[in-house]
Amino acid sequence: MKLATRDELCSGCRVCQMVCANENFGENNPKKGVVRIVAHFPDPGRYSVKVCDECGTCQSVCPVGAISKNDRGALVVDETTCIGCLTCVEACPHGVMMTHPSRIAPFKCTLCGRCVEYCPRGAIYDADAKRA
Amino acid sequence: MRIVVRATGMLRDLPPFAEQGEEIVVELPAPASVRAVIAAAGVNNHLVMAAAFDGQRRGKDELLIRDGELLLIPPLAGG
Amino acid sequence: MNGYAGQILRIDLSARRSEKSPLPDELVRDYIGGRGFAAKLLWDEVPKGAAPFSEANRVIIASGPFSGLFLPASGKITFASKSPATGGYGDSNMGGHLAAELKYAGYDAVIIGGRASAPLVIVIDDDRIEFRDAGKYWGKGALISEKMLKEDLGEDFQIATIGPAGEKLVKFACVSHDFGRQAGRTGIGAVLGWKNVKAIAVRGSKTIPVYDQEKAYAKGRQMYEVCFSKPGFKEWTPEGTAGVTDWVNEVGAFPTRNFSTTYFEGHQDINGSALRTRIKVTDKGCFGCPIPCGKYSRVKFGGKETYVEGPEYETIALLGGDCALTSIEDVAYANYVCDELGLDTISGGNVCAFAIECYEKGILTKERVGRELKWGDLESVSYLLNQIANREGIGDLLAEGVRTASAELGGGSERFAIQVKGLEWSGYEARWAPSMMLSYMTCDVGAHHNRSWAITHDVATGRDSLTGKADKVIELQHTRPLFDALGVCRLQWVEIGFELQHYEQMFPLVTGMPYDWKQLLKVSERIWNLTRAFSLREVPGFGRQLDYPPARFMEEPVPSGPAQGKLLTRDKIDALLDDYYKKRGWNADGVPTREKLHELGLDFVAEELATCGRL
Repeated sequence: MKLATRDELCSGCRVCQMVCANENFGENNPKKGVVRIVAHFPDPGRYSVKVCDECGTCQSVCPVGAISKNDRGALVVDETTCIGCLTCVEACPHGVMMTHPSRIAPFKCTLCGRCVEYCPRGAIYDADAKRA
Repeated sequence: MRIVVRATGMLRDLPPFAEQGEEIVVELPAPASVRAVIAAAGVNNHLVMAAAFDGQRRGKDELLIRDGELLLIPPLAGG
Repeated sequence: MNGYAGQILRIDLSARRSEKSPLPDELVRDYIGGRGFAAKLLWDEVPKGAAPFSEANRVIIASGPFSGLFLPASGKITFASKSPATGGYGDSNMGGHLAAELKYAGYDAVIIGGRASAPLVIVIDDDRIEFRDAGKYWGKGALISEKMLKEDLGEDFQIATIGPAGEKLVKFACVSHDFGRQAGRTGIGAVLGWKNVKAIAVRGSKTIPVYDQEKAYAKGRQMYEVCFSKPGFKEWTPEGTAGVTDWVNEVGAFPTRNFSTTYFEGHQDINGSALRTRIKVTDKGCFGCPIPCGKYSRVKFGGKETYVEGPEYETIALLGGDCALTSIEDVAYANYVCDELGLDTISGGNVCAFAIECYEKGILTKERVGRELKWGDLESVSYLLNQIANREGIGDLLAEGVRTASAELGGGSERFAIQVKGLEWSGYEARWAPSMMLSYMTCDVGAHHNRSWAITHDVATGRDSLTGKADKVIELQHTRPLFDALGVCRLQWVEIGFELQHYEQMFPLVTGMPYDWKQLLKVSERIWNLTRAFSLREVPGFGRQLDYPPARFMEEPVPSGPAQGKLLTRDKIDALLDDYYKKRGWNADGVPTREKLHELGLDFVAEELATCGRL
């Protein structure tokens, strides 16, 4: 799976953030979702959607090797190894290494695919899928 | 021309769909306006706000010329 | 507390203090949330006889148990207050993202009382409450202020603002949010303006607990999947509410030239198709919504690009048809003017149309207005809106609304002041739609369509018949506002046929409360009687005599179009009211009986109404 976006379709509804947090944290809290939605209003009146493309920058800057692949092939942060330096957060080119006041370790996309499934607009899709 | 007429929303709870089910098949000579197809299905035209033929939104006075599916959309509240 | 944040935030503007308290179980049990909380809190907190512009009046902001959760369109919040337009119960609900954010911050409701000594912004940032000086924003447009606040506080804040109209206490000033959403009706923006609240900014990071996380998550997924499967999911969204414009004209219910007639010959230039093909930029939605109704648009005026969310149907009806504007671009620009000034587009359009008709009839003169007024003229409309927001010239009178303006202007203008109880009529003309007429007459806040949209019922069952119309109106007046108590948008149900049973199934999974839909409707009926009682307590003469439509609708047959010749004479209006009151368990004056109040657990209301001599 490789996440990609069609920003012009985004309506700003944040279903992606909600389903992400429910799936990965078992919580109703879109602030724990890892899709970043940027609103550009009033001008030009659109949204941008930032998703993880598994570029590996976070892994390469982590000073303690806390970031490695899960069994879906997504880089994830090992909470026990992470020291909370937030270097990965600063380094992430899309701003999708997330932090939350309730946690020390940042968190990121696990390639669960729920955002692709539940985005009502088709604004997030799997670029690897045969049919988008 | 064979048109399968389907309804959404409140139209499904009203005659003729309430009695005849989800689909009403209409046969009539081509070309026929969307309005005529609606009437042929026994549906009150005033209860149809919009219609889509094979997924494409069509005005009620537009002409249909081939078999397909016509989806009827009831009037929906403004806001 | 499952489904709720579990806290009420009380703001005392006079003391610049805030206080948090637990959300009471009884409030949840008996009133559910949103509009229900608002109704009960206003009843309890606003002393009898308090003026709308007073420290004692409250602005209540409340979300519901579904707000902010993973289920379709969980983004609705209610604003409520004693209305400066009607003097009675007023509420308006708003989409966008404020409902969700307030819950994540940890609050189900905010109660705002007192008056700040200088304009301020209330900042709610999880547990931190701050009162920030609003000097740099005061006087600025509602949209510009939001932009500035997002730059100053952070893009992740959700912000509600008032515009200059609210600051100037215009009786139909609205509350604005998310660059195009409003709590439009009943003048709540003016109450905030009087209290010197320029904006409320919210940011929240907390999790909302639900009773059964696994089942609620699964049910949420299913609810979205069902929405995705509806034909309307793809069909309705491109034009949103504007898509109904042609149909309303086709059935002769479209406000045209101050409701003088009901078919607008230029409707195809201001309809959903015109919007979609000529000006729409983005389909913009509220929190959790799969069918974004917001049509964010761009129009060019005087070489400048202007952005606006809209126009939606009501704005097309009241700024478009009612003022006879001839292009979607003109309607969009007028919409933008309202949004920036912080004016309700429904009342705004209605008031402008009233003024233009007064001008046409010589009741208003060029001298008094400052220029000529014409139908179909964007400049006339824009001029009036600006005068109103600034309370300049004739704007000072028009800012009071059409009921007050017509009483002052006389000349027979009361007959075409299209309002009920002091709230301007919204987008459906009803001389050939008895259910819709009754809906507008009996809506608790005044002439608004949101409680009961019954016009298709009239078309389906007979537009000349009065039979069964009251029953339908009552049914809708319980079902539709229930969404406002739950804190979700009803358009999934209304527009794409998403079944009510899904909300019924989700309710216990979220709250752990075993209410079925029938029991929830009973709560809705309780709320209905409570808001009626609030107005009975507060508004002199409230009751049957304020349930009548304007004289135009009872005495002037529709002059043209599909509804030509139709009207609902006084005897028919009385028959509708009699049937309605009887079915509601109210007396012939439209006052709930003791029995009905007792049935709904509202004995305390009966006591109070008896004390006031209303029972």
